[in-house]
Amino acid sequence: MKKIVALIMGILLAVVFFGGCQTDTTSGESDTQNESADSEGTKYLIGFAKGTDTPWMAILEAALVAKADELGVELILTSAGSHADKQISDVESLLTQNVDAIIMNPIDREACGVIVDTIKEKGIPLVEVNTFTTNENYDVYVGSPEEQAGNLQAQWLINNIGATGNLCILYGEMGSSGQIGREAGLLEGLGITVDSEDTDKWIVLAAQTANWVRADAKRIAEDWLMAYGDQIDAICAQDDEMAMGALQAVQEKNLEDKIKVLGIDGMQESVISVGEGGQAMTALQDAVAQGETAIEVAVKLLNGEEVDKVVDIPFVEINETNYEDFLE
Amino acid sequence: MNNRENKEIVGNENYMRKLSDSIKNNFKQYVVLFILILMVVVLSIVKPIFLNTENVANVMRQVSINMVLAMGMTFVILTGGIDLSVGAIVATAGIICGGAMKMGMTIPTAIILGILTGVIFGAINGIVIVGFKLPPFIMTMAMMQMARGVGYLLTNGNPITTFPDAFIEISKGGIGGIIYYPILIMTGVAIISSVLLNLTKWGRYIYAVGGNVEAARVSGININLVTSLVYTYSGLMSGIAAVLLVSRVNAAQPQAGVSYELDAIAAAIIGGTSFSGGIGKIFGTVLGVFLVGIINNGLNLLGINIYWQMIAKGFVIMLAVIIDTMTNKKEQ
Amino acid sequence: MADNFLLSMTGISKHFGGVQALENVDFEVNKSEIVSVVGENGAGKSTLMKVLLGINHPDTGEIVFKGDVVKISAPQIALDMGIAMIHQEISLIPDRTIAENIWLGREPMSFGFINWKKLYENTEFLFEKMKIKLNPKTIVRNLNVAQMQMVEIVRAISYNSKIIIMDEPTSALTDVEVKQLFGYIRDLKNKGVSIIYITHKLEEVFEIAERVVILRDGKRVGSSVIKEITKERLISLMVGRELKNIFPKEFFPIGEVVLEAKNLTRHNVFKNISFSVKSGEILGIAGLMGAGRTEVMRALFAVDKLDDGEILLNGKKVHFNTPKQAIKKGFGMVMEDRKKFGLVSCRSLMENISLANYSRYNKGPFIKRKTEVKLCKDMIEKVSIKAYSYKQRADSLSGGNQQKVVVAKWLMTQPKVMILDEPTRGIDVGAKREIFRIMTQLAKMGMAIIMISSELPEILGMSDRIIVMREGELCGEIDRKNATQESVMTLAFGGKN
Repeated sequence: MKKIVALIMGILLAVVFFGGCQTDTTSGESDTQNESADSEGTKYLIGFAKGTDTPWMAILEAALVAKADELGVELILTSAGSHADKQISDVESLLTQNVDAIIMNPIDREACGVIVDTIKEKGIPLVEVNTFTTNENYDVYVGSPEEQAGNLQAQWLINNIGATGNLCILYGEMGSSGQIGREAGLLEGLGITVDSEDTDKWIVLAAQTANWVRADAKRIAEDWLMAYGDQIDAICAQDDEMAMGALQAVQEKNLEDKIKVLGIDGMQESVISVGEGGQAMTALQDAVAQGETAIEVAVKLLNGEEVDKVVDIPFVEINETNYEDFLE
Repeated sequence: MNNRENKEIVGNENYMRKLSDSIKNNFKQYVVLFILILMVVVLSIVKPIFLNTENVANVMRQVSINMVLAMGMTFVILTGGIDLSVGAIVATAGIICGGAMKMGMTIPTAIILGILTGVIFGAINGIVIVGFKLPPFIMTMAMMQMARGVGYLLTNGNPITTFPDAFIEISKGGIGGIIYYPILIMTGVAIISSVLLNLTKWGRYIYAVGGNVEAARVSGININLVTSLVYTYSGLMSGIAAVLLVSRVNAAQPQAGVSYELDAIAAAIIGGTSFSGGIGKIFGTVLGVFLVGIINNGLNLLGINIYWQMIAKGFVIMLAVIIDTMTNKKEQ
Repeated sequence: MADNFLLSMTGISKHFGGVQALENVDFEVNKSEIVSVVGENGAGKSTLMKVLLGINHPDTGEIVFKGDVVKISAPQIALDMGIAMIHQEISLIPDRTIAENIWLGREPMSFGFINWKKLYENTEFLFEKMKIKLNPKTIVRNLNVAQMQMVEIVRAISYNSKIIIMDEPTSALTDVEVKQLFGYIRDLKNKGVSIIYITHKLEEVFEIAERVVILRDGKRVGSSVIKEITKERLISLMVGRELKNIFPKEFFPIGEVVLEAKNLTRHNVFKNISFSVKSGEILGIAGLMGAGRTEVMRALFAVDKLDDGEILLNGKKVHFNTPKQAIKKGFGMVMEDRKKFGLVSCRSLMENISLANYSRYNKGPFIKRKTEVKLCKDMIEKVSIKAYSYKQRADSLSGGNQQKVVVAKWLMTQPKVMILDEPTRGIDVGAKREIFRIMTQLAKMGMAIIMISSELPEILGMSDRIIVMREGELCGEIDRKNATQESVMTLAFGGKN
């Protein structure tokens, strides 16, 4: 019995300790330009409820943390590890810590809508970044329009391959705003639906979800290459991770000249691949700009300034002509 | 005269009983084998390309990682335990392996470091489970968190990518362009696992510990050693799988390998390994791995929605467990 | 006069498989009476009580309660009628309060919620009636064993019980607590409750009971008002059966002392147990259930920890931390609970037999399969296990053959000392005979054998020497020549020899 108590105490201590470490309190030193400090000289405390732990999100987070440091804002970071329920409790714990504002990267359009109302009941500003909820009671959404990214892929297909062709789509996590928006943008750009069989336009041979995972994407692409072979003209992956997986499958069959692989996100590995003539294109979702803008918007709201409901950080197409500008 | 007649009848009966007993004991494996053959037949009729050598090699390569993991998982489940940390260990061992290469170490050194990482994590699992009498479910669940945490800590969430061609060759290359190295590796691992289980003392002890841990203990078996080695073996398998995965996707990522443990558990259970321990064979697990792999591949070839793949996989697991409980009930 | 009884059971018979557990037993209880039921292990006491409680259903017989013929088909019915049982083991939930335990499952409710106030009031009312000074809100874990027994009794009373059955209620109590309990029992009697008191401790029978009913081999062999019977008479009634000679005992010269145990002690379980076994000798350990016989052997075999004492093997001091070490030094032990400690029932016969022998026959990590098969086949023949293949699963064998598998496993280790704990439990007469035949052979080959058995005829039939244990202590040693059922039982029940 005593042992169990000791164990529980130990765990609690560890949680408090590591939790304390994670609570990345960045201070703005004695910066005189510190606009965010209110009249009493105390700093704003802002909570960032991160949804997923992808490499891309790590860049966004780093930019957000750096900007907060610059603005002299104190930050509390939480990470939900792709679980909507974890994110809900993350936000609840942020609220009990009396944050002045919350920046959230919602995991799920619908499920995370609950949190929006909880936050707004507290009367504090809520900025959604990168992804947004269907519950529109948030103050500002900072992000890149997902449809536009899909649209960029569609434009590339039409401009570089032609008005007709056969296409496979690798979806991200089904139901995520990225998956829904990018698919809509792609199909709209091509003027087709997933099931349409109009030979004057592009035709979708197959569409599967690889859940943003490279290994799954590779496996599925291998199966497609088996089933459809060089019938396929292009594989549109909804992010670069999956694009890399699909590209490897294509390259192992020496079909990279025949089958083009398109991605989204502007991941460095993909930018290099574009330069080497591997991946056909990618679209950069500017993680740094999104992260920096999100914190800036939050501070503006706290200072009582007006901000548009949607702040677009546009996607940028990266292809063989301009890839060099995006190499780090 | 009378006596001889009697003997003959007994002999005959014995033969019949032997046969029925063997079928009963391996019932699950026969069912899985039957389903497997049925699927192959149906798929090759509907989609002839399925039996294409290239597709067969594809499937083998695709299942290789799960095959290696499922070997370790079979050992663990045979002792009546479970290892939920497999996927997380794969991610972190992969990062160590990839990171070592990026730091300029030779490929063999990096591979050994990666595999060693798996072994160490596995050994920690085993030692804590045995030493503190923790339920394996709890300890390996904790390890799942810790190992993945280490992975994120080492990489800050960023992937390590672009490895030397010679390393990529591990998954890409092969003999005659069709017998890929991963196929050789998984075959080797399966054969070694089978030898360990059937022909060594340790193997027998694993079955005994899983079948009746108290009886094993009073029969003079060091159950702690047997058990902790089993988790170490599962860690070793995770290390090998990590090398295969990093080589296959040319990237070492902290978020890799999510839910790989579930696939490995599924393969072992479908293959007839009893969840309560003591019963199961490597051959069964091999069948289980292929069944899951063929479901994925076949449904992809047919262009069937991934959600149906999930339903199909779940259904097969359920079926396997129903057969398990039904055969056990009969014995009681 | 029969209609004056509160309860009367007449002509109760019950059989399990081929065993006649009860045969035409009559039993009756008066109002406000303390009646004790005594008998050897397996005499039918618990079966009789289970029939009364509706757990077992009699083949024939009639139960009359308060003048009406009743049919008790389930424990709940017995409880509703006012017949409650307090089991040997405490069955309270340790982390809940006294009151919660008493009313578990029938808490007073209001509006769908538990009415806590009423719950405690009801408990206090009962405590007042019983003159018990306990706070109903106390957590059960914090009570001593006697107090827990009290709570069990109060719970029984709370059903308005007319008859309370107590099964060995004092087995875990100290002397002071026993006095306390007896006080409560007398109070209950004065309030008109009848008590059926089951015990192995004859002195308790004489202290608390007013009447005693004696069972033997499923039959009622006597009944007496307690004042009119002596302890000696009671014991002879309990054991007075004829010995049938089914034992293939052979006599041959006995050798040197192989094992000597000195002052073996395990705190609160057994203490100061000393004995020795010689080569070729069968040492029988007799005693009642719970006397600590199994526990001593488990500690000797290093399954449980030994707190004190020393073990001499062939005159040399040995010490074991694990069964593995004991096996290495030449010990083998067939455990009491075959399912739990003996067999790996889902594995083959061969794997079971080999289990304790892999290190012995295989030097490296690998198994020599041919040797394994050969050795196992020899062993199967030697102890004549009836199986069609060595690959057969152990749980597909009959109980007797399963036991032979366990014996075979230990024989293969070629032990110097073989411990057999209840080796014939749950197996048929034929298999029993074969186990005895194997034991005789082993003794002839010079093995030292220790046998625990709760069946007196077995002990008397097979042992060269008998030691008797009672309540964790050694209480006597009898040579084969002087051993009779009466002499052993007198020791086991705590009488003077």
